[in-house]
Amino acid sequence: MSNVHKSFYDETHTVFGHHKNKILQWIFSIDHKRIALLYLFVMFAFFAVAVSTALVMRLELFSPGQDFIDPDTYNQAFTLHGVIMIFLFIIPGIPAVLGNFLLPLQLGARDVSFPKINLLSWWLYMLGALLAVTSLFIGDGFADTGWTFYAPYSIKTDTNVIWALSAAFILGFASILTGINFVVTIHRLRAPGMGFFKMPLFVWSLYATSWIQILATPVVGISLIMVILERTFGIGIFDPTKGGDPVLLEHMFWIYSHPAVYLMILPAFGIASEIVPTFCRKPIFGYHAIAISSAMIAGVGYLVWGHHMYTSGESEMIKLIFSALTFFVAVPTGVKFFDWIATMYKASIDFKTPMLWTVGTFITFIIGGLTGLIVASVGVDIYLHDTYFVVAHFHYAILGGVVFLMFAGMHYWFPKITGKMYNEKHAARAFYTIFIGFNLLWFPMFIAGMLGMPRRYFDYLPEFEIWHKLATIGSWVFALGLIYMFYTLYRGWRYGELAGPNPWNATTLEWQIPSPPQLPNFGEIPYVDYMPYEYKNGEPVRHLDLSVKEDKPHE
Amino acid sequence: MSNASSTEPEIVYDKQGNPHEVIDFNNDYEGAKLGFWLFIFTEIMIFGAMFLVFGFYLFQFSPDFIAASEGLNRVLGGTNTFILLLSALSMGLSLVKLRNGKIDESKKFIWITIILATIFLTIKYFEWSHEIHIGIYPGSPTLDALSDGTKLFFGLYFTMTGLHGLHIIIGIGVMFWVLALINSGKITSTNFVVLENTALYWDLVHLVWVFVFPLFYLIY
Amino acid sequence: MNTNSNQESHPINASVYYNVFFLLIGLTVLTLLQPVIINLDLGSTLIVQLGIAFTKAFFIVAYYMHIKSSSPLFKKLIYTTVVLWFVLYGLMAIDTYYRYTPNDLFNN
Repeated sequence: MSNVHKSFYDETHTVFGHHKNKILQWIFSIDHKRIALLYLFVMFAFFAVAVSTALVMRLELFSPGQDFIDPDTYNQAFTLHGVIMIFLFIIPGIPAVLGNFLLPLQLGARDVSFPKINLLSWWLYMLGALLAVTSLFIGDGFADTGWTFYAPYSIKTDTNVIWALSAAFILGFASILTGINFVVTIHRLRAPGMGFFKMPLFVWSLYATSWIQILATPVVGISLIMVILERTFGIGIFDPTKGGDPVLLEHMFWIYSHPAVYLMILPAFGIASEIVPTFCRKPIFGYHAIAISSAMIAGVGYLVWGHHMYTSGESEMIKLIFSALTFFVAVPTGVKFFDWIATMYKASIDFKTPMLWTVGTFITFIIGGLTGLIVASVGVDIYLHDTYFVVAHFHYAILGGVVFLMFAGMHYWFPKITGKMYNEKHAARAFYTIFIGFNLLWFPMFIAGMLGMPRRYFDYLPEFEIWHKLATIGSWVFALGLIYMFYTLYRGWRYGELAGPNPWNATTLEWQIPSPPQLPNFGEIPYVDYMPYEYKNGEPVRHLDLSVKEDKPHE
Repeated sequence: MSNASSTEPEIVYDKQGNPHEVIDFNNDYEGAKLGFWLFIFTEIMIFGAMFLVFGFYLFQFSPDFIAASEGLNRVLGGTNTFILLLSALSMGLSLVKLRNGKIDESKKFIWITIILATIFLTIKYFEWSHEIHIGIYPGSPTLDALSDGTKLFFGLYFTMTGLHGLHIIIGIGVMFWVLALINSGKITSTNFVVLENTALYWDLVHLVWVFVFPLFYLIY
Repeated sequence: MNTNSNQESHPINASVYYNVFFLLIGLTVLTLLQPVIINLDLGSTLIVQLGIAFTKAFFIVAYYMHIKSSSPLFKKLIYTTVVLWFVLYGLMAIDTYYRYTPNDLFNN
């Protein structure tokens, strides 16, 4: 029945017509599935670089004193780690890879609204990445300001800050274009009958994410531009010697960069909302609550940026306001967690690898989220600010939340993307390795932070040694687990068994077509007048075959 | 481009047998307009952030800002305001003419808009060169000797009018592209969304100036 | 349901453009004349000037940018953006206002 028509690996649309060359067929493809894979490979290449930088830093911190890199290199290393992880990996991460691949499939559309702009944003992403990489090798090397580019240091240091800033600006532009594309796609290209409250929850989370991309990214874009102008022309806006106010830059930076963490976590929550009902074989509990809480997180998350600046000299009044608003963000997040747990309640849960990752994330993200409330209270934060506690909180929330759920999603949609199945046993073992390594790596940092270990320091006092040693050992376990996981996935892709269209018995539209999908996605577009997660007695209510049939050639 | 084989819309039937049209993403007028509006929102966020900075310093350095504002040339600024107003009108009229099928008149109005935009830039050039001539530009010794508020005022003045000017230059480029599309028959009286979006862009440029002008030139 | 046609043209004609144009000219003249007619302090000047600017912006968005005749979706989106900016400006204004008051909240 399926696979009569070729998959998107065999044929494609390109922006300039036909190419003989396979590589050109990929890099000029305007098919959303291919663009998603383009992002995937580049992103994980950079992920590997950033993980290596982090390993180098941990190794340096294994024992006190200077071991094998000097302090300036260390500063550049953590900046590089931050810039790559934030701008090149996490922010485009889930939306650009899984979002690009799945959004049209889940909506019942043939592509995103603007396929050419989709390709353009990948090219911009590549340009930004290229700028960042180039600046490593010229002049005084990569920026050493940290990924936050705080003035006045960022307007004084001799390193290539302008390059890093331009890279971040261009990457932001790519992200905006993706956001515009997704919002228009969601508004315009839903399958007939699919109202907003019949969309899969992953799409809801992408919708909220895209709005943050559209409305928050420009603010940081212009402030980065102003820092560039500051360095080139000396316009004085952030330069205290000319009356400028560096705290204003921090405001404008966090007006984007705090919503940016919700931009990272929201699609991850969307992945969890897909995986939990599938492996619990139950309709999700509180569909509307989850959908609306995504929008609420995006909305409230926009107004809490000031909690990054409690010690930067903002006024007492605004600290209290931001603190209160920050506590409020926990409410919609809690709603999501209770809904997932209520879905799992009394279900016969099938602990396949994607579900393992999801449940593992519930543990790590709850630690990350609740420590977030600790640092959200002004008084405590004055003490904990800029310590390892914040570093551990951030990584529990972003690595243990976003990246873990991204891995969950990669395992979940792996059969859809490749058409093959990975080895379940090895994948589960890889999860346990990473999970143990992760906790060993970051949990000691909470303690070190509470004892007063400042972040971004190249050296430390002897009493912190035990925590640094534990963390460094954890980083090795973590890295080994990563290698194990990627190797398992690679073997699955090369030698795995054929997965079939719907290996998990899932209900959303992307599982009703062959794996890997065919170029036009759907043979016929269904009329969707039902909820996305409908199970009865542990079985999906509907089984559809929407593949492109031979007698109905679509171009 | 692709999928062009199916010119008639795809129809899906629900359980009652009612037809529903599947929107073709290659030919979606509302979608194209929505996408451009979202882009306009990003522009509003960019300029809004700049106004935020302006307001922030205006309240800290009010006397300096008022004094510096007095030094700007209101005649040239005012002339530019009227020129942009006229150009927004001619851009809008070109869209009306196109939709009424009067392609030549539409092209004529686009040319008028381009000319007006160029005049705007020329006047801007004279304004800037006057200020640079008397030694006021970011980082200049004359400016550095003045008060902090004055430095910030001119820093913001050059940044914001420069950014606005950049948008005008881009707008001129886009208009030439639109003219080429009209000539090659890609924009017609029924397929006008590119011109409509260009007009929206031009209105945005005008809109920004509506705020830039009083805030810089008329606060004294 | 949504229809997908390029022909759904809400009636616009040139006269709307001319009317709005003359209105905008009038408002601009007002903007320029304000300093000549009455001399106000900074706060009042800002209120008057920005009031005129927002009026102009309203007419530009409503008529030149066709929001008046667009679907409700566009109107909602614009309200959202405007509200968002007011909230952002409000938060920043609170910070700016209290920042230069020492011990602003707990002064005694």
